[in-house]
Amino acid sequence: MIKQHYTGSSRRAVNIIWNAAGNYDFEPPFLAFFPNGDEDSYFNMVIGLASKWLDLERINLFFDSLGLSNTAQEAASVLWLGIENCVYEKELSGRPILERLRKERAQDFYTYAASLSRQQMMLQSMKVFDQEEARWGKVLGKKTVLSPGAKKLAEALEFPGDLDTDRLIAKMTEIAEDSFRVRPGKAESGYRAYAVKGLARAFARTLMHREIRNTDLLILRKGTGTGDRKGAVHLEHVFGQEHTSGSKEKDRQYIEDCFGSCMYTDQEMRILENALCTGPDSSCSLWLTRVSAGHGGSAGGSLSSSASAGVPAPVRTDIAGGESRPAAGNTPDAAAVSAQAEAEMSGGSTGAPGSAADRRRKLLAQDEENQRLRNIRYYQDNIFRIRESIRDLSAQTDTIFSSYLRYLPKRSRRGKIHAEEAWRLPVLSDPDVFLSDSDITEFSVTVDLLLDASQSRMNIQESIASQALIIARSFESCGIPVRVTAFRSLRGYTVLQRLKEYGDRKCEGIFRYYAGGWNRDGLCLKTMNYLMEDEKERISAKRILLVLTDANPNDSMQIPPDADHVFPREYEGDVAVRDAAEGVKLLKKSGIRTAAIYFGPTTHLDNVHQIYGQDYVRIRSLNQFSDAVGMLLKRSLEKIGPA
Amino acid sequence: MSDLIEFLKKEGVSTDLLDRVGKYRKTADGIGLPDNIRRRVPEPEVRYYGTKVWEKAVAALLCGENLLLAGPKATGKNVLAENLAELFGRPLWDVSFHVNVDAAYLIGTDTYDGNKVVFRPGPVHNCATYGGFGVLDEINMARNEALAVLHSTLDFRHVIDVAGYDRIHVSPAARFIGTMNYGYAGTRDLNEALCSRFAVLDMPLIEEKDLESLLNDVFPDLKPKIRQQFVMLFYEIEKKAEAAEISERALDLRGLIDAIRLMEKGISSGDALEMTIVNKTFDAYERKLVMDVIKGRIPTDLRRADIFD
Repeated sequence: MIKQHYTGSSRRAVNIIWNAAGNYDFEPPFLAFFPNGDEDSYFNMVIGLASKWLDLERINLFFDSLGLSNTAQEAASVLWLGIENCVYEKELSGRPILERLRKERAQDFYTYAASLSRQQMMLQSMKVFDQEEARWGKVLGKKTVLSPGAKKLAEALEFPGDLDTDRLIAKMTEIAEDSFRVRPGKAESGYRAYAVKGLARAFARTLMHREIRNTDLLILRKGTGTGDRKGAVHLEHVFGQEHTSGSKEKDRQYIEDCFGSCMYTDQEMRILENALCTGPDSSCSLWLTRVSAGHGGSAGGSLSSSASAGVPAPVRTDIAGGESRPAAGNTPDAAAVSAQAEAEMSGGSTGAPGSAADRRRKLLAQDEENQRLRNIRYYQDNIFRIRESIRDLSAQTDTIFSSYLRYLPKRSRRGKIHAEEAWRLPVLSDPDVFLSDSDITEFSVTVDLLLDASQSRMNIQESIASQALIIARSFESCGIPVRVTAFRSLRGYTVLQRLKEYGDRKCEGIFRYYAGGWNRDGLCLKTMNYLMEDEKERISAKRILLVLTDANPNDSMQIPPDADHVFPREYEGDVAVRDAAEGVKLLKKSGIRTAAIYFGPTTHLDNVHQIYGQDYVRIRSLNQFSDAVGMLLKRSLEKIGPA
Repeated sequence: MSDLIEFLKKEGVSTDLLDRVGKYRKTADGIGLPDNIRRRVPEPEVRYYGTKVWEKAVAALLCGENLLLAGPKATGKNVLAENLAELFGRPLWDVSFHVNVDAAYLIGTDTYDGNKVVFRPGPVHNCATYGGFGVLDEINMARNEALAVLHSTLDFRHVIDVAGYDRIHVSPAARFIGTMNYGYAGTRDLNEALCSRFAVLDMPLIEEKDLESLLNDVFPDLKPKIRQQFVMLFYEIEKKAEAAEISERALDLRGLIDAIRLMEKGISSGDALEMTIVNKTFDAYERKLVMDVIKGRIPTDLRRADIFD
């Protein structure tokens, strides 16, 4: 499960809650902020303490059950004062500073109240304001003038510290009914997804014609991409569903529109496909491309200039169950893409200005550009943390390298004396009779980072991009060439997209990472092996391949029938895992150290073990990504180098 | 030393074990120590708290085992090592391991004494000769091949064969205590051959009551209520580091003790904690998170009189 990611002041707020609760294993249902957007430390602590002493989940359900009316909101604000008093009394003996923090919070209230203009004051809920004034006035020992009703409510809100959750909820119910005329109903059950299976599903799908014509489309995610939606996205195979347009040329054109032109000639690609697209991949094709300034919108924009560009506001789209497709349909852009798909399916793909293909190109370019800007914005929002991580990983890598790679000695005027050459000093007056470390190590290393860019990663695109950037910049700064490649499959094409080449120290291509499509891990790994083998003549360094994966290979292009299977099989589950394992086996046979960083649910742990053997590290948060890479690098060097 | 025995008795360490330590000392005292070596018997200011760990460590050393103390930051590995040397009354040699540690560094090297080339013994050689305790600090920072030289010293052979010189028998009183932290950058897994020559003691994080006793030991005048808040603060930071919300840099027991020491000298609580804990993280955002934890426990304007009786 993807853990919810917090940024900026929300992360700080949630940290205060976790700290007060003494528990970091829950997602707080409430966060407290001041009207100016700063986090309200005291009330966040109260929320944390409520979690420590009471059942926060039930309190949450209670507040849900009040509804969403203004009166209900007023009641909720006021009732939190009751909870505050209760947990204050419970915690005070163990945390004496609470008294002082409470006074500071009371002072903050008066400072805030004094800053309100007359108009702002009129916009306040007087009922809530009165109660706040009553509470904070009492804390500071100030006299407050209240109506008899408000006075009675203020007294009722002084919940004693010996309440348990049941009695607290009973008390809150009483106050909500008596003072606000709000009757807490049953908790709203929320959105319920009914799974339609079997025949009913097939029937429903027949009726819903557009759902069935589900040709693979590159649909970019419209959310914030920082993991704000729970659960990884999972693409599902549906019986009878077509994933190609039926025409090789159209599919190829579509892939070219999406990812730009292929970096190899047709002839080279034919050689590659003949060698690799065999057996289970015989109906597949390959597309190798690199991000370039010419593709994907205004690609020339540098890091600093593009940050202020208008990034579309994030739209939250909930993804229900296992189907990812309907999510995209919720947004205007996605609707446009669907429309474009239909246009394409009906034939028109000329590429002329104004044609469906041209519109598609523009739309995709725009989407890609938006994602690039989101990646950059995420980078800039977290620039301090990212820089710190780069520093950390660079230092770690440096230490690892100095541990595992000996610098070859060179003759020098200082260092360890070289006994065999010592005679040169008195006889020839040659001072170079010492040995010191040269810049040349025993061997050099290159690292290839392979990023799964399938749709399952759509909720965490920005994090992946920033983590890849951390790794690339750290390694490059230590003199290790890094190449970053994203892989995904679409309409039978397994696309490997180079985001960064060896030696590119700016690494800006990594911001072009986006998720969309399927993943045919086996073919991708075999292709990487082929290409790296091909480069052996040019690159003599030891090669390390690190793969960020969810160990769930899953492609729309079926495995064609073979001698043992009469019918085609879906590329998923055990078959796909075995195929990916074959890919890793080939890589290892070629002497390429291959290891995986596994970021996915526990259910696929067996898969990752089957594919990569012992050579993987599981991470539970993307923040651990760069650490995991450091660890894998260490392990890889241990096996390659003289440990 | 008798203080330490008293302390251990109070902590509930088995008296049988302590009696056997007494017997060891009587035997080992027979090994004559020159004055400059006798000065090496440590007298640490800080005691290690943790009865079970004490018992395991003492029992292992009494059986002639070498100890490997493995554990994360702030678990008191070096404090325990020093305390053990004091308890057994043996001189201590500290060897800090790093990438370039080699056999010569450990055993000894040739040097010129102005007249002729002589052998200058290294710390492991000295330990073996004088029956000392050798603390091999951060043992997993060194290359495994550099450590191979220790194999014959640590196993049943108990010898050091110094190439070109002599074959030295390791004194029966000598013990080696390795310390390691799995998490530090640049560390590696110990190879099996070396690992099998140690009894491995997994060092737990200091327990709440032990930390309180430790603070009481170092700062007897610290007000009990404030002391408890410092203890809680340490565990809150530990929890935050464990949840990977902050790095382990701020989790620093030495830093906490230093902070209280600064407060004793008149620095305000906020400034002291900032210097010794908060500023150990270099990320501005992380500092805020650590500061939030501190603010939720310790007022930042406490002065000496508020903290000490």
